[in-house]
Amino acid sequence: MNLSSKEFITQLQARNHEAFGILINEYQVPLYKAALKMKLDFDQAEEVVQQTWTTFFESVENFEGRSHIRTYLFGILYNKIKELWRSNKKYTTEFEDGQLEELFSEDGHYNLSPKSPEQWLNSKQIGSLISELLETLPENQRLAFVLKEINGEPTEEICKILGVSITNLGVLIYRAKNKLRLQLEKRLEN
Amino acid sequence: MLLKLFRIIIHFFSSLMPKALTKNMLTCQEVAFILANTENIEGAEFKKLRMHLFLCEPCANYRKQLLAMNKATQDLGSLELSTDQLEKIKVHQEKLFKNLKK
Repeated sequence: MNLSSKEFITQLQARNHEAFGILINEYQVPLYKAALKMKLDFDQAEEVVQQTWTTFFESVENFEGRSHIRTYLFGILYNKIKELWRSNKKYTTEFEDGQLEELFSEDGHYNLSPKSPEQWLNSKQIGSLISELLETLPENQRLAFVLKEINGEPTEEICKILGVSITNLGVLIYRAKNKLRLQLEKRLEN
Repeated sequence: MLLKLFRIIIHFFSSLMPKALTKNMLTCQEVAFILANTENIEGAEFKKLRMHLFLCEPCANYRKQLLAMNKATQDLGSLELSTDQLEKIKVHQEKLFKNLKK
């Protein structure tokens, strides 16, 4: 069955249990995986997935079918994750966005040149460092980075999920990558 | 080594050039933004970018750093759930089904 067909959406909006069942079967595991990839522990993942389904059941009547039902569902999930991050206030911003502008002089040249990464560790170690450093990013930059660079989601989907334009997504990715890059340089120098 | 020396000389002379001559060239800041959002720079539209990378060592290093990061993040994308986790997810799913029937 096409989960984004008008017929299926109508069934969901009519609170058809069978349709809800199909959706749960299809997306329960992917929702957990998506939450765990955002570095939530299993209990937190369970909590946000539960909240996601509750919100979905309550709000599906308002779904206008402008995006795929998957995008709508995952959009709810990522909002719940952002709420959780906010309530935990776990991240510590090492670089404010404004500081990134100081990387360059007025004529657009580097004030502080990037160094060759030849001395960097192997890929696996860089990966685990990045995974650790993700917590230092503001929520939208972290989400954008994980969705695009780690999960490999299509740009359009990410824009719909985050409610941003393609240009804004580009800015989020640019900032996230540079903050991670600068912190990697700092860490690996020591 | 020669390339490094060449880049230093080019960088020195480009900083002396009047702005009118360099206005069509990409700045390091512009290059940084494009590279953060584009991995494949083979197309004709990236000609200026490739030229900049050839001449500018900081930008070439920046690209190498991003490529190293991209390679490292690819491995983070795969996530295998344990049998225990799958079992818990199944229990949760059954609860959802029960709640639906109520």
